[in-house]
Amino acid sequence: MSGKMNIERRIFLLMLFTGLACFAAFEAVSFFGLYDAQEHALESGREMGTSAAAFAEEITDEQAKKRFALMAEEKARGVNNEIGRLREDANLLAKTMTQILTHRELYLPRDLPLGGEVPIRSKEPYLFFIPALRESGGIVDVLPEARIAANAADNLALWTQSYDDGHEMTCFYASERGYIISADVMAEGKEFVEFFDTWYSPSFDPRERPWYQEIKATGKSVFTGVYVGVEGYPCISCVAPYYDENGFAGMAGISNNIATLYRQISINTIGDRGVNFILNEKGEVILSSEKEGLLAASATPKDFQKYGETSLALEAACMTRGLSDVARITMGGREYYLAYAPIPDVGWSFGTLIERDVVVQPARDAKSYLLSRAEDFSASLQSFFWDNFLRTAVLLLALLAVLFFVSRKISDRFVRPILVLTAGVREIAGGNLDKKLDVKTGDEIETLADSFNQMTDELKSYIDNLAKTTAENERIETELSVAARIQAGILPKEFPARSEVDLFASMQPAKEVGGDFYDFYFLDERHLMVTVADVSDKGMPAALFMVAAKTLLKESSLLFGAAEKLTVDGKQRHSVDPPTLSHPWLSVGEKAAHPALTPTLSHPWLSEIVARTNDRLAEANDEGMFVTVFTGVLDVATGEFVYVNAGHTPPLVRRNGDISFLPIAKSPMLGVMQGMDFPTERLTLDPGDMLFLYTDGVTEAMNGERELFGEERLQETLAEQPKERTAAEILEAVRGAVESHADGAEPNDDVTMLGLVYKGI
Amino acid sequence: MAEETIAFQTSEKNGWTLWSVNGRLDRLTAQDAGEKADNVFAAAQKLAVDMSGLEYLSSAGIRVLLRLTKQAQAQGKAFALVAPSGMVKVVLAESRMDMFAEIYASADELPL
Repeated sequence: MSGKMNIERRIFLLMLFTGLACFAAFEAVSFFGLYDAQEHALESGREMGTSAAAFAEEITDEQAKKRFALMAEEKARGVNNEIGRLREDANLLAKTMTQILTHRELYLPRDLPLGGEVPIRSKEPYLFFIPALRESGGIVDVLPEARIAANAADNLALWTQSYDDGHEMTCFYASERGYIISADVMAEGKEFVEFFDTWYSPSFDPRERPWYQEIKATGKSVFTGVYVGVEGYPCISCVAPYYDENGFAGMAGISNNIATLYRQISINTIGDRGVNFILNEKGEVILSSEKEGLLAASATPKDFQKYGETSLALEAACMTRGLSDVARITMGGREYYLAYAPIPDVGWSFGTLIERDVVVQPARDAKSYLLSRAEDFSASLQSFFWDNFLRTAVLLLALLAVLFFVSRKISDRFVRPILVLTAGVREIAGGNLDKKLDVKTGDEIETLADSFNQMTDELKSYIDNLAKTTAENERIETELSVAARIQAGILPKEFPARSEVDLFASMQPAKEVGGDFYDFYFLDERHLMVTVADVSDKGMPAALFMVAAKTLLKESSLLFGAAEKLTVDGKQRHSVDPPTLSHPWLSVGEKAAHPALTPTLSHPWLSEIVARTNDRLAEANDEGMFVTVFTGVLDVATGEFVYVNAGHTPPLVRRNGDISFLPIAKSPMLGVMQGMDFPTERLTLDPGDMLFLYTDGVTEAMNGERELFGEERLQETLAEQPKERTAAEILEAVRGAVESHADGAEPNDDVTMLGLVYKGI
Repeated sequence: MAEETIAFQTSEKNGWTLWSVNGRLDRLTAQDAGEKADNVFAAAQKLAVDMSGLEYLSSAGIRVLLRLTKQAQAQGKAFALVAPSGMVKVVLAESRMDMFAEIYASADELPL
């Protein structure tokens, strides 16, 4: 396969490129479609993750706020109950003492064991005196009242029993006058204490305590700050004033651990950074799950309203005003929820601080989960996409390979018949006309091949015909040229130079040589024999027949003519042997011929000559040829003309200026049948008369309209000829008339004429 | 051949097979006419060539007629020429066909 784009290659490439284009388009569409889908899915996944996370965060936020509000209220209520009971009980204790001291007359003095002198047992009341009283000896003065006041001691014991929860606590009365009645709950497993640090430290005087001063001034119960108790638990005390008939007489108080409360506050924080705390009415942290830091309870409490970060300070102000809310604050760069609710009995506020991260973490987890799922989805989509792309590419390659082979096969199958056709046609063009194209495709190519076969057949038969025709033509040409030569060669060209006669003859052969001939010769000095004949056929057979006829006639004439003159007549012609050229008599006869001899009118010898010639010609004439003959003998001395017309066109004769036809033949043409008779006829010519012998080539010459020249025209033409004209001139004139009649039409027969003008002696 | 110059027709008349030759009987048509005549003659006992439609007769035509004449004689069949006219009549006369074959002026004159 050269650089030339043959049909096979074109088809192949066309199919291949079409297939390729389809695949490429398909691949491109699926690629971009998948790519788009993947991108879209990825984007949607991200959006969904983000929005879902935001939604979850929002929901979480709201729910957290509700939950935290409820929780803060619950806790505040719990604290309120706990603390409120303490105040209530302190007030009850104070009320009892006030009752006793204002109604001393109703009570008997009672002795209590003195604290510090005996071991102190749990839940038993003891009497104490402040150190200053002991040192000053003022005990005696105080004792009577103290003994009366000791009536409240059972009450104390009773309260301690009700408060006993396995932790230490104290119920007490501290009198303005310096005595103290108290009952303690010891910690479990602790039977007694040797001394009571708080009460018995030498410097301790309850009256000097700030809250003592406060209640003395205000007349209202008050809570002490939270402090760490003996056991290490945070404790709180509530003190309330009692009175005698003189007014303020001391304070009743309950000091109780708030371990349970503390535990609840400490434990139930939310998250690592969650803080529960209680703010007092001054905005100070009095209880906190924090051990240190801003929100830890401190011995030197801070007012949160003035301290801390702005948002916290704002909320602290709200807390101290007894409001409840859930706020979001920022502290130390972190976001928190601050839920708070008031503890109304004490004017405190419970607050719980929860790191927002802890709350919204699940939402954030959900968000990141969703995002990671979206990423996963995207990744798997991408991998699916690439897998798919790869699979399609592999499939495409496989299909391309198939397409390649199929294309080759189809184009090959399509083109092969064309190649076969081309090779076949080339072979045919090379000259092998026997080559048959064998293409059975059932399509246009087969039709084309069939057409080629048909064309070849026709070409072959045409060539065969042409060869045959050419051979035939060549044969005919050869034959004709031979015939023409024979015909031309046999006709006499030299005309007799005699004063008695003017003789001229001509023969114009047709294209296809006919069998015309003319002849003339003197039998002796006086007798001129003239002949015009027409053989019925043309070509070589006619030429040969003509030769035979002419020769037979001439030789017979010469021999018999001479012989007849020596014999009486020719009646017994059949008894006479045919003369031969070698006959010694011939020469004698010719020499013996004498012009003075007067021939008889019957001239039986001429009949005999013609009859013999006829017999000979008819002898072996399988072809059925014949010859019409007009032959006659002119006695130049007398003008007597004896003739035989054997089926020939009647000649014309000019006598005394009149042109007329001789009578029609009395005898049939020669060569048809043997044994025919050929009687002679005669006429006598005067000087100036003329005989015009011709063949039907003259009268039957046709023009383009197939109009014959005809006897009449011939007669007219001859009549027009002046008397002085020679035979040659007359013949020329007739020839001219015939030619002008034919007007260029090809003569189809020989045109033969013989003119004989008798001049006389 | 540029145009058909001869046409033939066969009919029966008084026991004769009447073979009409129309047009020109010359060298160009002689062979065709000869073959046709042979066919017609093979099936006929008495053949008459109707020449009423014959316009031209050449020596080649005469040859055909002569051949048929000889054939009739050899086979003992009857043969005749009927109704020649014009040039044809002249040619027949000049060539003395009457000396070989019977010539009738019309088909009605054919002997029974």
